[in-house]
Amino acid sequence: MSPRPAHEETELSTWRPTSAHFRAVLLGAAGALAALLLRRPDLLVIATPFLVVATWSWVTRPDRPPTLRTRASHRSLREGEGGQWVSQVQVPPGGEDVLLGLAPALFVDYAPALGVTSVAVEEAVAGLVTSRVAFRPTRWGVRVLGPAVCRVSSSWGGYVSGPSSSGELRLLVLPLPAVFDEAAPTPHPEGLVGMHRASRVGNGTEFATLRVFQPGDRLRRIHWPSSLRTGTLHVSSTYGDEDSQVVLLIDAFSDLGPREGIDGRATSLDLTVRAAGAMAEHHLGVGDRVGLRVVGSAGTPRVPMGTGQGHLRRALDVLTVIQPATERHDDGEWATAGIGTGAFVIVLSPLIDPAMVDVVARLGARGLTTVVVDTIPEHLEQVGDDLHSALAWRLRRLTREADIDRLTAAGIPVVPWRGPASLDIVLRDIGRRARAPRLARR
Amino acid sequence: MARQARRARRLIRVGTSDEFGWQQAVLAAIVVLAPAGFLWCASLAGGQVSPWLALLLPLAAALVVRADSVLTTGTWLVLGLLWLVQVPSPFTWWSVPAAGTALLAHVAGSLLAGAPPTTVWPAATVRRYRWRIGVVLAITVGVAVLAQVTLSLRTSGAAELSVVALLVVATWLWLGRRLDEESSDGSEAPDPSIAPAPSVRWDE
Repeated sequence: MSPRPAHEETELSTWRPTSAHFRAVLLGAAGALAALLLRRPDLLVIATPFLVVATWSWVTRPDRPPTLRTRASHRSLREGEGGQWVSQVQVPPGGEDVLLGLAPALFVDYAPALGVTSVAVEEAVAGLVTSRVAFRPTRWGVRVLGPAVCRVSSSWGGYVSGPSSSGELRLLVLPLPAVFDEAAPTPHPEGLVGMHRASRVGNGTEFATLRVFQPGDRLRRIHWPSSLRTGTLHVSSTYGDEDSQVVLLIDAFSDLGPREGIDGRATSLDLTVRAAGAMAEHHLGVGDRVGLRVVGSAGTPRVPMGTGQGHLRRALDVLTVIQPATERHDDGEWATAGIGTGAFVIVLSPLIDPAMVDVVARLGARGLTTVVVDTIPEHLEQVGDDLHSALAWRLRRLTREADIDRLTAAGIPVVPWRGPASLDIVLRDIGRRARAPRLARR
Repeated sequence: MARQARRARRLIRVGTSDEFGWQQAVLAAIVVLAPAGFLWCASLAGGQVSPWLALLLPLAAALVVRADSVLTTGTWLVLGLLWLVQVPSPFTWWSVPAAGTALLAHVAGSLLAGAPPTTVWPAATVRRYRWRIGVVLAITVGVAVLAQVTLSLRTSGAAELSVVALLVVATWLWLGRRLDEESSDGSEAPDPSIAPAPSVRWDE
């Protein structure tokens, strides 16, 4: 989380009389005049409060405009985390009540509920009136906070400065990664570092076999029991520890389901993004190189292969700026170009858009080890009350099931997203398949 | 159409709706009930207040929606005119509660117009307004006492005297402010022996 705050400073408009001030002047003057001309002291009594209020407001009116300064406590947050919008108003002498309101923002909760706070000048410190509104983004994405609207009034509400708005602040809301773990080894380890057992012997930790000593072997590898038993020096060899290349391919063609944020039901893209975040975190944690590609979202950059926590942040940033269904003509060619032959491709998709099914089929045809994680939410499986929608949805599901069958028949497993160990069974299957004898065309 | 319906709903649900905080609901109630209170004072003061004037009450309810419009000023002008016509001259003590009612309506309308319905006013603001309303009411009572004393002394031109007295007070306040501004704008060099005030840090 970046601790750097975002600042915005605005000078409010000049002071101007309010309709309440005009009312006090008019009623006071008219009452006094009528009392004078018609010899009615009771009218003068009734007009007196208006006269006093009008005079009081006018005498104590401020002479220079206030200044509003706003900032958010964070530039980026995870879904569901809380931050603070801090506003400080430099109130000139005569200003008394500061009213601050934060414009409602999509998927951002405020406390107080509507983002409106009122502060009296009596609470000011060195002329600075400070107001804080707690906010909590409830869905990943780029959220716009503000603008903040500020209004400062003088005594009796006679003069007012504002309402003036400050600029908006952009808040990057990172997806809250779901829980994910893998017990099965990732296929095709081939890098130099990492925690996966390589298929060849190397300088790792997992025992491979005992063999006769050769020049160049390290002395600490000598296996003394077998050397004494056979009379020849033997060493224990190990498998190498290597890393894998993992490519996460995100389907942003559609976002199915009601958008209810972190506290409600997840959409298909919510599940996709959170699952991708979890997988990236897991694989980067075990030393794999992870890349991220997005299909169907305009202007979303590719994340090249990389490792480390900084790379995780880069991947999460790209997940945050996904805009679903903004590139309907994306055929996935750009996203899938340059994926190495040894890469393990994890496609996260609800498999609703036929274009994405074609992309997955092409990946499989290229010989890449590909697994599809089905991220369609469970609650979408329920049929609604509307007969026509239910029928249309049933037809769509039948098409989807046919697509899944087609992919499975082509050797591309499709597994539903179930959080931890979602991929274990399919990864073990892939490992067994790699070791099994296969027919080769001569 | 939808906007009008929303307004109507907001008006009907005033006080019970979650759109109104309790403080703003109280202010809205004051704005709505103040014209009725004023007419009641007029009636008690001997005025012939027609029941038809109850028709003004829906108009008063509309003031809640448009507390900052000329409707409010127009309504209170009409009420003042009714007082002038209906209440027998020259003086009645019922003018003091009537003035208090008008003052409360004015303050409530001012606060209502300048803030969203959910606003919760800080305790300092509430205290300040309570104290100031007390001061203004005290001045009003003082004017009423002055008027009564003047009338009892059968001095001619009592109203004129009161108006002149108020004008003197207003001129004195205005002059005081002008003198204060002139002294603060003076080009006197700052005293180097006075240390500058510490700057306020943004990050507190």
